[in-house]
Amino acid sequence: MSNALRFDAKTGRLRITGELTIYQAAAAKAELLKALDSGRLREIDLGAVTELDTAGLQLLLLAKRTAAERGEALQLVNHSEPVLDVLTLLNVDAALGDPVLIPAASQEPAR
Amino acid sequence: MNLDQAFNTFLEESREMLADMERILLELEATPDESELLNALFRCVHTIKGSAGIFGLEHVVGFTHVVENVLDRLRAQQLQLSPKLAELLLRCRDHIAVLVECSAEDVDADLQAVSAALLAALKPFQAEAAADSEPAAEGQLPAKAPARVEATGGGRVSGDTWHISVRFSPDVLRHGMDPIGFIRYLRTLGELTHVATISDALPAAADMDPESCYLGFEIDLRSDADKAAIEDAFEFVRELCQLRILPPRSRLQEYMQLIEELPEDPGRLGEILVASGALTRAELEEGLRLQREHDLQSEQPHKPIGEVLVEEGMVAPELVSAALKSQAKARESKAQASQYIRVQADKLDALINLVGELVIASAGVALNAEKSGDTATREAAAAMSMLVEEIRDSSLQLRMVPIGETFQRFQRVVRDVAAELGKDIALAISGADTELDKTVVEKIADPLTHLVRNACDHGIEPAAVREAAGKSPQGTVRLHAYHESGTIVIEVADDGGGLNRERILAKAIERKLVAPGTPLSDSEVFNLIFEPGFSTADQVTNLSGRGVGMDVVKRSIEALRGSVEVLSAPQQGTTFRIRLPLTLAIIDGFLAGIGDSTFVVPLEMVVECIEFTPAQQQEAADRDFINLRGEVLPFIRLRERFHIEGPRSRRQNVIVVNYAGQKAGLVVDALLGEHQTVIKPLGGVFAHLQGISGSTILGNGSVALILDVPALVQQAMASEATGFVNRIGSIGKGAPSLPAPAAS
Repeated sequence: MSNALRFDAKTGRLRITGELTIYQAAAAKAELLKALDSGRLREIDLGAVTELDTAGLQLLLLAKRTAAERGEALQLVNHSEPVLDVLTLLNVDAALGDPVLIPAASQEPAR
Repeated sequence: MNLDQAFNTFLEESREMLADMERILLELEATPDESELLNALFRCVHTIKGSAGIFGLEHVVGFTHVVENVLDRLRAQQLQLSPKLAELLLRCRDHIAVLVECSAEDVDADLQAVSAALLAALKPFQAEAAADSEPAAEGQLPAKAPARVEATGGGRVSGDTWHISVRFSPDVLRHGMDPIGFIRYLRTLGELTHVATISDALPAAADMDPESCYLGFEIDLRSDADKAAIEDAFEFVRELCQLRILPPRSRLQEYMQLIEELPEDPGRLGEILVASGALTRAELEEGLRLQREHDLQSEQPHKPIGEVLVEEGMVAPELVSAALKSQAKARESKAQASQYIRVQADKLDALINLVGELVIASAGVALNAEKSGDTATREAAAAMSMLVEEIRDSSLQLRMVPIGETFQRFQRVVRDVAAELGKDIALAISGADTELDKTVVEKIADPLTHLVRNACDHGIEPAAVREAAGKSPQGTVRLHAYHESGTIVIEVADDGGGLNRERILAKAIERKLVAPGTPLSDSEVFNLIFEPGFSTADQVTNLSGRGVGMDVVKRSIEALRGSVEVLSAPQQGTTFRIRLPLTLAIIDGFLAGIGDSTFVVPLEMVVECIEFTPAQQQEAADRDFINLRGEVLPFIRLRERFHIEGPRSRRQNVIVVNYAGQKAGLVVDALLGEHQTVIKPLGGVFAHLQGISGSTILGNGSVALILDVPALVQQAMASEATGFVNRIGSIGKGAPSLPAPAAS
């Protein structure tokens, strides 16, 4: 509910706060596309994402793929714990191809 | 947890959701564009639909699906919430409530007719395209499993893991299921050696529906679980996914068949399987070669191994609970619902009964310990008494619920009544956090409903009259609750025209309830409306005015050991003030002795105890009040009131009690201190007793009567007031100030 996507056109960074789930998916997609269409989106900051579900994951995949199709570089950065959990469970971190910073406290992020 | 229990949880949850839904709809009437509320509303219906789907309640799913569609459009701002639509949604809510409570077989023609009517009414609000692809068809994948050819030859593969291939239907998210949850659940069955996420079906950005699921997964699981257990993991999405499971060391042919059946490019899938370790490169090459050979031959049809289904209706309970849990989690994020344990009411009642007995028993222990004179025993008994007291308080606390929930229900009542009467009425609620005993809450709901309806119907004037009187055309009915000296006070107030004193009096005289010319105070006149069959309404509406009711209201409140009073001011409105005891079972009592008898005064009502000095006794010899620090304190001599014989003790005491803002004194012989009192109701034979509300058993086994303070206070007031008229000439100088009138 407290979902917010804030896009800073200057730095090209889109920051997602709160949940990224089916409940926010429609609004999040619109925001995401707007950012993509601006042609300036370079980074998606996931540091403040508290929950990620399949719908949210699809949006991240979509963003990556769309950017790749347009020949733009887009990185997912600053993965939060819940995001990492999903990405490692589904083994999509490699597919997304972004460097993931694993916090020292949880060297075994899968569990 | 078995399925029955899970189903009960579902029912409970649905009821909560429906209550939320009603509340939200009513709130939305005030703020129709509040997107938070629209989202919450959508989630309510969404959750009910999802859970109903789990239990196969197709009649619920079918109907809620349509409602959900409409709510979805509202949420997406494609629709505006008009009053008409809100009304319709409220009716849909009511219908869902009925559907949830009955099983599919119970859906008779009447219910179906209601369904059909509501669905037809919803139609204009639905998305244009949605009409044809309704729930069943939309949610299911096309029938699968074309006959396959079986491979002759082809060795078994070397992998020692289960291979699970799953493609979710686009609708799976909309049904409240999250595929990630199922994969997480698989982790409880064994070790996930590899998961590949297949996102090939993800369409171009513009075409992608963010609430559809486009993902599939190839999963390798090392587990001792059997096939049925793995299949059961996907029980809830059985209809919403294509699931194929290959056991460890399956035949190579089966893998090839799998690759064939999946929508993705076989080459790519082959790579995925190799990457995941399910197949070796050599096995893949071999398989592809065999496959090509078989394409040239025609052989016996064979059902794919993944088609072997477990028997219908076999639901592993832990899965139901897992799914319910994920549903619950989704809700948590929306409302941070507090943690509750559901306990059956009768278990609580049994506990409280036992605590009551414990209180009596511990009083006995304390008494005997006191008698024995042994210090250690006395200390132990005192410690125990303290603990028992705490147990008593916390077990009574268990029964306490905030009254807010009951108050909320009246939003709908007021709304409906106002609509029926064509008035504009708002309901203002305050003190919703005030807690009182659950039993009391349940029993007070009906009288409150009556008072609220009355306030809307008789209290609030029509808008035109209000405007003429210079008031806002919108009337307000106010519900207010607060604690006051051991009682809870609930007020039902309206800002209408107030009670018409003259009309009530005229009616009372006409009905021979009072003799003409009797001087009556305002409150006495207003109290006449509680007489059976009393109605001053000029016209009988179908809501109220038939004259049944107010007497019933009063009786049911009195049955709860409460009281009700009416305050009214012309053009400012009428307030019904209900006072109820906090609990029905145990009270803190104050013991007082008169002669050989012991009486209990509820401690909350005791203000102070003073000595009745000989000087005061002298002064008050022929009147029933004393001067308490400059205030008039009417009193009752309990010895005379209850006709107790025996010698009067030398010292007399006055217990000052307070009820409903009125103070009065009770004259007793001895003050015996505090006592935890378990109320035992008096038998029917004693029902007519005035001034006694119950009895209790003391630690020494003797019986003490509990004084009915409200009744005694009223008596003191009354006798004091009449006495005053008689004495008025005879009181000399130094007389105390005039007594307050009996009621304000």
